[in-house]
Amino acid sequence: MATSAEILEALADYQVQCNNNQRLRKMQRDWSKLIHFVAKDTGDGFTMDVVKGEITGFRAGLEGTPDIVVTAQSEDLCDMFWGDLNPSQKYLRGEIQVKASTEDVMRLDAITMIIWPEA
Amino acid sequence: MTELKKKIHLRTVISAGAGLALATVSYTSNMQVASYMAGDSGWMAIVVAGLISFLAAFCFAELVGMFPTAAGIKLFIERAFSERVALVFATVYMTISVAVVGAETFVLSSVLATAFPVPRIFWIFFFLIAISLINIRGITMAGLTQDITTYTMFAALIGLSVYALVKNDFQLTTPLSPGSGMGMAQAVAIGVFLYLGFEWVTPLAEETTDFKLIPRGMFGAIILLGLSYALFNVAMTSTVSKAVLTRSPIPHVLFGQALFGKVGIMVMMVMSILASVTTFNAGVLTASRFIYAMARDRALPKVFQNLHPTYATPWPAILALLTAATAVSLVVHFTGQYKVLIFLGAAVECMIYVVMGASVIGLRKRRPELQRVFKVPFGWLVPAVVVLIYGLLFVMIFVPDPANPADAHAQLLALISLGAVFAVTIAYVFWVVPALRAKYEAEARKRQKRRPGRPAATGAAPQ
Repeated sequence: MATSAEILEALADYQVQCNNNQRLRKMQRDWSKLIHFVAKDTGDGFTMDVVKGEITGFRAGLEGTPDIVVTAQSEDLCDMFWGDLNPSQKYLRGEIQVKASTEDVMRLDAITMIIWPEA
Repeated sequence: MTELKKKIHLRTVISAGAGLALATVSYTSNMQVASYMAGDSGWMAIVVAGLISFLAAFCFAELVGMFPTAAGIKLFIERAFSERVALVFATVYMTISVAVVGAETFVLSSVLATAFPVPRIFWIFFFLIAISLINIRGITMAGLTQDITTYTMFAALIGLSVYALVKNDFQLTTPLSPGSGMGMAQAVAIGVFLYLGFEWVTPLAEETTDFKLIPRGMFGAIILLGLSYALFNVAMTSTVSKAVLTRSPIPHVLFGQALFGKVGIMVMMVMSILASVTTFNAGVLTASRFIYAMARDRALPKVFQNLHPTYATPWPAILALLTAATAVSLVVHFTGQYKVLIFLGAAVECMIYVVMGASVIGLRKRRPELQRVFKVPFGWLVPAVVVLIYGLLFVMIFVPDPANPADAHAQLLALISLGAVFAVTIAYVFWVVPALRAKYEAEARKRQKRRPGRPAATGAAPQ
């Protein structure tokens, strides 16, 4: 079980990796979303702002009306943000649930695929 | 559950399901249904096919209530049986759906070649390339545009049917005598094909927090489809000779021409383009995402997980689909065997409903503790009936009807094609997928884990 602090640490690294990847920034340049991440085992929630492909902020707690809601085990969220987990495999097995349009699900997965293609 | 910013409405769920099912090839299939029924009674088979589609919709509703995800059908089967079984059935289903896109291109191209003096083969390439570019560019029809397009098509279909019936003074030939039981059963089996697509709204469960919209949308789509198809069937057979209609891949154009001359041809052409665009786009979109997901799941070569650098669309998957659909269209163009694909489409639709019914039963046994937002009433009765009825219809599709000997060849070819697709898929899933996974897992294991402190999960599939 990952703590809220561990997930926030992973999110901080995720933000740096995403924002420093020029290929990803180009691909997501028109993509602005408010994303909620929910750890179903701990009940912790996290909010992430993406503005034109740049992660401009994240914080503990669920704030605002989201475009996307991702629900998973806290361990999976943590591993996903560190790039140690292929989220598609978990998603296809129903272990990670996403509430979003088809395009947003693709773009969310694209982040991991572009930054850590070998994950 | 938190509400999402973007809300979808019931009218959009209905239009998505009904719009997907209404394709240009539906008119051809509609007359195929009529050919197995006596006089103007084709509507009866369509209504019966619609009624049993309700039972299948119940099963989908229970499954999607448990797993509200775009991974849908594959996940349902995987949880009920095993990953390999899921991969086999989902891949066969997707492969035949792509083949139906090829048939759709052929029929649409035939319509356009009738309206304009340009060879059919030009239109085949024109449409498939156009659809691929639209998909690579990531253009999708927004909710309201889709609603307006779909409901306009259905209003036109119903309006034209009523006009034709009034014009003919409702002079119908034996509209209530279906003919032989064998013919009726086969007509219902082919009629199932007319509803192909209503269940493709299940991925929309991921876009809403109001789950009830999905089953309501499926039922609404089935009602709209059944009403429109049944009326159109009677209107067509009472306006133009059934023998002429059933021999043509474009019976609706003959019907339009009989009603309004050249204007009728143009009206049917516009309706065909609208019907095809919605079906094409959704078909290619869903199938390309399936291929991408399979590649991300290490069940297909990595090349298929590449995304367009600007539009984030899976372009290698889209191009692969374009190639496959073009090949099917060209085969149909040169052989004229479009009926094979109608039989194939109907058979695969029956097959997937059987598997869904079995999945409901399997999950109730294996995972009784899972929360079911919607539960099919009367215990196992409905899913068992779905398995039995669609299993029977699946068989009937391939049984030659003495009253329609001309179709026996197409039925045999459809059976052989389905067997071949199954054989290749099973070989791929049992031999190629494990080898691919072993290779990619080995590569992933070499990678340095980044998370400090703890070993990371790989997300690998249990074999």
